[in-house]
Amino acid sequence: MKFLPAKLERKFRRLKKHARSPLMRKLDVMHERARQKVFQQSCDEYKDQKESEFECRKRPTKMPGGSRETYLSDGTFHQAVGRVLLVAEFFAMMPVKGVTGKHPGDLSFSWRNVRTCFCLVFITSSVANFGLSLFKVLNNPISFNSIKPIIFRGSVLLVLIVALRLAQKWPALMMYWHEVEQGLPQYPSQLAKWQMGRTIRMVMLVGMMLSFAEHLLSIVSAINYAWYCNGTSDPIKNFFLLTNDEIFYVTSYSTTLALWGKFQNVYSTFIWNYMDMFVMIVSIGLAAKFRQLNNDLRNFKGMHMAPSYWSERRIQYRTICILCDKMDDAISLITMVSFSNNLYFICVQLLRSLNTMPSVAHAVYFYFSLIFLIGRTLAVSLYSASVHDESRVTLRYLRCVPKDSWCPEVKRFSEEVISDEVALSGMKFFHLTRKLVLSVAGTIVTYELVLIQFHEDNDLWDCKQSYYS
Amino acid sequence: MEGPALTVAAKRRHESLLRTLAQPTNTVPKLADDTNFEFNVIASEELPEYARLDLFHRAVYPFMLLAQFFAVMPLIGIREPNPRRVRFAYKSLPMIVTVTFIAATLTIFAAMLKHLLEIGINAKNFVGLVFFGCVLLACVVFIRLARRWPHLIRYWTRTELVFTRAPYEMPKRNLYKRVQLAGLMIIGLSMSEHAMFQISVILSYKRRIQLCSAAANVTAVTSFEDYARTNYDYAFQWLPYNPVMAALLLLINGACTFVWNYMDLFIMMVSKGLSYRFEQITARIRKLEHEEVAESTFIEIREHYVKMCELLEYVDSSMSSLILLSCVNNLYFVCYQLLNVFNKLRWPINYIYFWYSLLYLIGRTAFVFLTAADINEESKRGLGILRRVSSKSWCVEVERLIFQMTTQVVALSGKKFYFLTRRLLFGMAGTIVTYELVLLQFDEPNRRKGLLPLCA
Repeated sequence: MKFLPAKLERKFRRLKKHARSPLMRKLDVMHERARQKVFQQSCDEYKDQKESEFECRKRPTKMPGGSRETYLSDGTFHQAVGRVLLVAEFFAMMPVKGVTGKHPGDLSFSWRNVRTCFCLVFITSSVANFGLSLFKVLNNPISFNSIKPIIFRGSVLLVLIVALRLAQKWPALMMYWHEVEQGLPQYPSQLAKWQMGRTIRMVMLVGMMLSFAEHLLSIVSAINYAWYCNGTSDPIKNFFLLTNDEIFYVTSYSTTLALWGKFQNVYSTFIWNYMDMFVMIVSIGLAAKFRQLNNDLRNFKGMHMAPSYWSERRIQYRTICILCDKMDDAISLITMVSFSNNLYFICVQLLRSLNTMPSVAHAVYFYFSLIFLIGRTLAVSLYSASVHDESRVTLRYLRCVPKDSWCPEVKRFSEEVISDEVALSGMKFFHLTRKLVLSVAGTIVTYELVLIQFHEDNDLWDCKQSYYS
Repeated sequence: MEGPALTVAAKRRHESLLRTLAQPTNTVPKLADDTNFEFNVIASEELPEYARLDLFHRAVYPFMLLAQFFAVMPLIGIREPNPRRVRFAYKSLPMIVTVTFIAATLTIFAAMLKHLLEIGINAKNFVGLVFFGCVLLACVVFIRLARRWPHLIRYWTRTELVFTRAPYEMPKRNLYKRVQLAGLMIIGLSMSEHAMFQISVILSYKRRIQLCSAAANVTAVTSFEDYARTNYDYAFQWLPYNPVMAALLLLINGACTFVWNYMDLFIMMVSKGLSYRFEQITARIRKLEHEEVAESTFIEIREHYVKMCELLEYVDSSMSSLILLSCVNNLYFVCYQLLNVFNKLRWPINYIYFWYSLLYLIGRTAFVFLTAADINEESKRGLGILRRVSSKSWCVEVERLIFQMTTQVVALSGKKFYFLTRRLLFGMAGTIVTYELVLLQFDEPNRRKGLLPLCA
């Protein structure tokens, strides 16, 4: 509404310090409101978007095996093997401090540690048990079957002593392993990093579960046997008298001795299984290192690479081979004990399968333990042979190098790969390759054919005989 | 005051933000990758005529088609000359036939197992279980191979297209003729073995009925029902009898025999296909013996050799289980048959059948092994000529090729436990003889008992 003429209007406006006309002001206000609205809208949308992203981050997609620890793990062997060694420490093996730490520098071994003392106490008690077993067996007629308890307890004792020596060397070994890992080409993705850790955990879990099931079945079968051969009125006393007969051969029955015998039995069974698991886990770790190198070589297959690239890869391959050598020196005795043990037990069990089974429970336990034994032997052989196989895969990528990139470095690399036998071994007597599995199977069949000749069908449930013969 | 400028700018930013949020992730358009180029699917070149080329797919398809009638390796589109048309599908007619066959064999296996658990298993009657078990495992292994076959045959054809052109020459007998000859021989011999088995069993049954009824002064009655009940008693304890069921049983028995033979036939065909290409490489090297050769030729030869090695490794990784199964199967049956060499049999027809089947078994095993070992032999045959290359033509590539030929084992394997070479055949023969000597000692008391009474 115009009250004043235009000129005066303008003067009046200047007085009022308005720069614009009412229409302009209205438009200004409208624009202002619209702008604020759009701004608010875009701000709200931006906020919503950020919130939804944040929501996604708060609930990350469940990756297989996805817990916070795996998410943050570096994919190193030390971290992958930490929990496995922790379990072993509860069973008096490998008394190293700091296995679950992030860095192998935290590892330490000391003779005054509680773990080491526990280990030494257990070794002493195993020696006592072994002595009692030896005494009983030597005072009875000796046959291929009757020395079974000596072989069992003897190998467990040997592994315990070797594990103690290994625990002394373990911090240095893990530091060297860490150094080698730092020098290798990076993993391409997070999932690839966790692959080794997942395999190790799965192997440990399956192995422990199956061995626990086998131990339960053996207890059931022993209870069955004890109930059948009821020597005394107390069923629990019967059970302990039968399963720990070597102790009660020299002393009279007492509950503490029975419990000590049972404790010894459980721990020995775990360690007997753990031998094989340990060899498997070390093999998985070593094969994973070779695979890491091979995967990187595969990315550049057939391409023209500079000699410095080949030189670097050759040196990395060499460091992994040296690592393999070091680990082999450390666990060689365990590997040999494990293989000889498996060979003996498979032969003995196959021989016992010719007898008639006295009861269903015993048959179930017997066949389950035989299949578990054969399966575990096969698994150890195949996993340890995979180290040798993985080390040979490198050749496949070397032969695709085109003529223009062929240099003395590549030649040296391929000659090294071909001529060097990279494999775990049993005290350097035999190398763990796939060929060995075949020859072990042939050996078992040969020995069985000869032993069957001398076999006499004896009653498995003769109460006067030992449970183990 | 920015005013409208800010509005417009903010609007533009806002709009662009919305646009980027609304867009789906950019998918890279599928370019023609190397496979297309090597199959010559470029507009300027014409498609190769697969029907006329000397390809493995064309050599092998008649036998694979025959196998489909016996419910092994269910694939679709084998008859087409273009290997890209081969497909595997779970919902297809061959797959349904295979699944039915597996179900039927499983029933027979279960019936036999139940029967044997009742009468007690020993080394003599275990052979039936092993036979049916091997056939079942073979069917499963073939289904798994069929799933990988389309990709495998395409990769194979891609690799061998290079060998169908100059400078590679076709050897005297082409691949098609070689595979046909060997395949027809094995199928013919196995069919005559099965026919002789049936004749032997039928004749023995007839003679037994005649002799027993004459001894008991009863009229001889031979019928199909009686025959089926006597020979397949384990099946008819479980299943109801009717003539259709008995005929089906005989048919499935025949199909199982075919599958049992097809394992070896398949390995033989694949081995011939691979060693044929290595032979072509050797022939090319042989042609270069007295000539002055440029380095580029050797580069090309080595490249093709590496490609063949990679093809062999890929085929090996797909077929390894089959080779392991076939070896175990052959080993067991040869050992079992050899154990019965000194047994007394009742009638001449039994002797004829036994010796024919033993010789056929040993011959088939040896033939498959030798064909597979041929790959290893062929791959190394070029070494003699390469070592004689004149100093003028010598280059790094020749050295690399010699190094590769001497150090790498180019052979099929049984899950990498052992490699199929001539040395292995020799070693296996020695092992079989050793075990036979020990096992024959075992069986001596049983054999001294002689023939069991005829009419029980």
